[in-house]
Order: sequence, then structure tokens, then C-alpha cells
Amino acid sequence: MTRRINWFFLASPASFFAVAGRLTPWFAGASVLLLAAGLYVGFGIAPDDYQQGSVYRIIYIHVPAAWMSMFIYLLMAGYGVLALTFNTRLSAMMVLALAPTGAWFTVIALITGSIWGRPTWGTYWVWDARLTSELFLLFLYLGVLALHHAHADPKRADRAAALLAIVGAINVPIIYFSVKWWNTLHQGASISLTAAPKMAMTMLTAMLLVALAAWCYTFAVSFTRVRTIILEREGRSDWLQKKVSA
Amino acid sequence: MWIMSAHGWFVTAAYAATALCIGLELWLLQRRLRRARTAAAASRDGA
Repeated sequence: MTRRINWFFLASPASFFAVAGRLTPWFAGASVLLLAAGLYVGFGIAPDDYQQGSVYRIIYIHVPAAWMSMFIYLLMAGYGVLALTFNTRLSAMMVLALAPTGAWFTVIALITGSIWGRPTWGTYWVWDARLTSELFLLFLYLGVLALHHAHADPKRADRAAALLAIVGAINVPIIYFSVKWWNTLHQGASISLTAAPKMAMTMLTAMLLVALAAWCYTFAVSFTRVRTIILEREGRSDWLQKKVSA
Repeated sequence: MWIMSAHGWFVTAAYAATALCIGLELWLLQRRLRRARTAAAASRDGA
């Protein structure tokens, strides 16, 4: 008799609560180690840029933060699709667990980009396509959270938040391709999946290490937040009462 | 030392702002987690 794999095992808050709790410390530890390694390579090994000098080193947080702001939004929209399609409780919780982290990464990308812009462009802000669409992404993240809080009924709140997350996903390719489609002050992509990178290997290595650290951080924080949401919503359920008593 | 240069201040400001954002996120999260745990324990004790 063939054994069936229960693909929906992790869709249950009870199962995911335990798994997320076990994985979080590993992701947190990996994040710290990868960040330390990335900053060591970025500051200790990578040389100054011949044009920008040392100020380019903001790239080690600005670019990973910008990548994460877009990736997390797509992930959030994916969970929004699952929530509306399958009506799974956990998918709706994941939308709410990812939104704050994505918003914070967007804030970090905007602030570090602004600080970087002052010495290089001579200005903290321009209304070019890349910066404006990234700012709009922040508004979308805040909108998802605000829309959820605006509804008293949790089910309606989850549906509204998931819907906005899905609709707003169109902004992500706009952000990515904005430097190609419009004349922007923001530079074009230095890294592409189909072409050789236009930056030195040491700088690229440092940036990729910090990007991996950002991923691990996202998993650790989102898992912790979804466990918090599960505690808030299912605090009176039997399985959680047994866990809290244990 | 480059960090004392004009550009060094911009780099320092960027990393400080990042650390502040991450710190704020983690502080808010741990506060929310603590409240959720307290509420869950209270509902267990009240049951």
C-alpha cells in the first residue's frame, strides 16, 4: 500500500507552531554569522571604489534591503493567493506576519538610499521612477496592515488584506524594470541572472552574504511573528493550552 | 581614518539608521510576543 504524503501538514497552525519554534533559533544564528561575514568582507577586504571612495559601502545594506522589500511582498502576495483560494488560516496569518518585516526593509532601503544619494547625486531625494515606486511599495505594506486593522471581523480583515497584497504585487516588476523603462537618476542593475556582474567580486561577495543574512533574518522574525499571531488567535484552543501549560 | 571623513559620516549614518530600524522591529515583536504569551497563560488560568 503506498504511503500518502500529507502536503497540508504544515498548513495547520498547530503543526507550524512547533516547526517554526524549532527552526527560528537556527535562522537567527545563521543571520548573525552571515551578517558578520558579509561586513568583514565588505569593510575588511573589499577596496574603496575608484569613483565613490568609501561611501559606496552603503550598498551592503541598501541593495539587500531593497531586494528583500520586493521578495517579501511577492511572498506575501503568494500567501494572499493561498488564503483566498484554500481559505487556510495559516496563509492569512503569514500575510500579516510578513508585512511588517517587508515594510521595515522598505524603510531601510529608502533611508539608506537617501543617505547615499546626498554625497553621490547631491540630493537626498528625487521623484524618479525607482525611488517613487519603492515609496509606493511602503504605502502598500502599510495599507495591508491598516486595512486589516480597519475590520472588526477577522475573516473579512484577512480577506481584505490578502486582496490588497495580491493587487499591489504589480508594483514589484514596476520597481525592478523602472530603471529600464524610464530615464532615472537611479543607476541600472549591476547584477543580472543572464550577464556577468558589473562589480568587483569582493564587493559582490559581501553583498550576497548580507543578502543571505537578510533572508535568514526574515525567516526568523516572520516565524516568531506568526507564532505570536497564532497565540493571539488560537490562545483558547486545547492544543495551545496544553503547550502553554507544558 | 576614513570613518572620520565626510563620507565616513554618511556610511555611519546609514548603518546606524539600519540598526535602529532592526532594533525597533525586534523590540516591537518581543513586546507583542510577551503580551500574547501572558494573554494565553491568563486564559489557561481563568479556564
